Amino acid sequence: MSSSLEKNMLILRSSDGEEFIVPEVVAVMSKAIKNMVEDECASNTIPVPNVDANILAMVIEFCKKHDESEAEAASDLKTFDSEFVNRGQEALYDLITAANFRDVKELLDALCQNVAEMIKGKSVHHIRIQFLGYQLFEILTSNFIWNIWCDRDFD
Amino acid sequence: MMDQSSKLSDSKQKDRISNLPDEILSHILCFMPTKYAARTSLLSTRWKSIWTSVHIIDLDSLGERRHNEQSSGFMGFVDRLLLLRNSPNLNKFLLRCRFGYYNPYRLNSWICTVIKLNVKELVLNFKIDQLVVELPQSLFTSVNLVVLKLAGDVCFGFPMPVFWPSLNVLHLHSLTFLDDDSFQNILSGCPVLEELDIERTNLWDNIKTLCICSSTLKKLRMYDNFCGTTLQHRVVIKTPVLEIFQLNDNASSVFDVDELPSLVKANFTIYFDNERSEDYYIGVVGMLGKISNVQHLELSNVIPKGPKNWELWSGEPESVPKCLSLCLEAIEFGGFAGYKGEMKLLFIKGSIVYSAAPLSLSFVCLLHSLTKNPSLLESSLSCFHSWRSKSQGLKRPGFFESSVFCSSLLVRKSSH
Repeated sequence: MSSSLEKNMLILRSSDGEEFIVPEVVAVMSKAIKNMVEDECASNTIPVPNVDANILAMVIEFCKKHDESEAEAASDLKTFDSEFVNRGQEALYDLITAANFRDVKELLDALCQNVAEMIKGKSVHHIRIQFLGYQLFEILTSNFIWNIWCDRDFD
Repeated sequence: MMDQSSKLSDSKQKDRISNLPDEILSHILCFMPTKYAARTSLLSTRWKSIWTSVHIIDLDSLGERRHNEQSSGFMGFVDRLLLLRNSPNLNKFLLRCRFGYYNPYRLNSWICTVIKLNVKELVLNFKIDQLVVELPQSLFTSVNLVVLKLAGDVCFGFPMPVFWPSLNVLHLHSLTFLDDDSFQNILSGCPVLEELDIERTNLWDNIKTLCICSSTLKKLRMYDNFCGTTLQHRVVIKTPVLEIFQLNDNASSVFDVDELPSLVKANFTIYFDNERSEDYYIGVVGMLGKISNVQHLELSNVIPKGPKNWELWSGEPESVPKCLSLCLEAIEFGGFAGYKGEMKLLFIKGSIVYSAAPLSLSFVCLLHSLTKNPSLLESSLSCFHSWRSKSQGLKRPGFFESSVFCSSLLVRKSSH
C-alpha cells in the first residue's frame, strides 16, 4: 500500500529550490505538469521554474482542496475559492502568472473572477485610483468607442 | 515635471495587474458584463483595446429605462462593439433585450455577425411587444453552435431547414411556435442534442401535442405552467437514452411516454386535484410505470387533496407498474399534505439513501395505490417496514407517519 502511495507522489521543485511532495492527482491539475507526466518526460522531480516556494505552496493548497472536495458541496468550495483569491495585488499577479504558466484552469478562473469583481461596476476614476493605484497622467482623448450607454450608473 | 514622471513610473510599478499578458486581461474582462469591460478602455493606453478581444459578450438592457437616448446608445454600442472586434472567435454571446432596445434589422445583423464569428453559445432573451421576432436563417444552420437558449414571449418563426449539427443544449422558454410541426422540425434538426429545457407559460403557444422524440437526449426538463385551462395538451416522449428527467406539470397534460430504460434520476412535480381528468391520471401512472431503472426519484404534490378524491383510491388495479424498486437508491418526497383528519402525512425533505438493492417497495406502488388501487398496499406494506428500519439510522422524520399512513389506508380499504 505504502509503495503504491509513494509511486503516486511527485516532487515539485520551486524556482528557489524548495521541494514539495504532492500526490500525482493533485499535481496533474496543472495541464502543463499533466502533459509532462503523460509524455513520461518527467522524472520524479519536476522543476517548476518561475514560481517561487511561497506561491507554489499556495497553488498546491488550492489544488489539494479542489481535489479533495469533489464530493463536497459546491458552495463550500466557492467560499474557499473566494477566500483563497482575496489577496493583495502582488500575490494576485504572481498567482495569476503561475496559474497561467502551469495551466491550472480552475485557479486561473477563480483569480480572474476576483480581479473582475474589482473592476465591475466601478467608474474609470475609481478603478484607476483604487485598483490600479495611479492618478491619471495619460489623457486618452479620441476614444471613439466611448459611448454614453456604458458610462452610466457608477456606483 | 521631473517629479510627475517619477511618480508615474512609481505607480506603474505598483500596477502589477496591467502588466499581465493581453490574453489574461481579456480573460478577466470576460467575467463581467461587456458594458463594464468596455469602460476599461479608458483606463490607460495599455487597456485601450483589450476589451475588443473578449470571448464572451454579455449585453443586458432589461434593467434599462425606456428612454430614446438610452436605447439608441445601447444599439449603437452593440453595433460598434461587433465592428471593432479584434478576435476571430467568440465563445458566448448573451443578449437580453427589452422593448425599445432593439430593432429588427439591427438584431438581424447582430446575430448574423456573431454566427460568422463562430459563436458556440448563444443566449437570447426578449421582452418586447412584438409578436414575431425574425431571426436570420444563418442562425438555424449554424455548424458551430453548441448551446442555444431562447426566451421571451415571442413567436420565433422557425423557417424550414433547421440544422444544428453540433448543438448539445437547447433551452426554449416561453416561446410561441407556428404549430406542432414547427417544434418537431427543430428537434429533428439536432442530431446530437443531449439537453432540452422547455418552459411553456403561454397558453396560446400553438402546440397541442408536444412531441419530444430524440435518440440522443439525456437530460430533459419540462416546466408547464398554464393554469385554469380546459384545453387538454398532450405530451409524447420518446427518448430511449434519457438519464435525467425533471418535470413540473401544472397543465394536466396527458402523457404518452415510451420506455425510459436509462433514466436514473427523476424529479416529478405533478398536481393531482379535483380538476384533473381520468386520462391525466392514467397518463401519469403510465409514465411512472415506464421508469424501471430509476435510482433517484423525487415526487412532489402528487397526493390528492380533499374528500372528493377518495373515490380515486378505490377500484381494482389494472396493472402493477413495472416498478423502479430494483435499483432505487434515493427517494425524496416534498409538499405532501394529507387530508385533514384522515392522515397526518409525511413531509420528508432531503434524500433517503439506502444501498440494499432489492427493496421492492417503491413509492410508485404507493402512488399507484393512492390513485388507483389500494389493494397493492398490502404487499408493499411489509417492504415499507423494512425500509423504515433500514433508514432509522438516518434519523429522518416522517417514516413513522408514513407507515401509519399505510396502515390507515389499509384500514380504510378493509372498511370498504
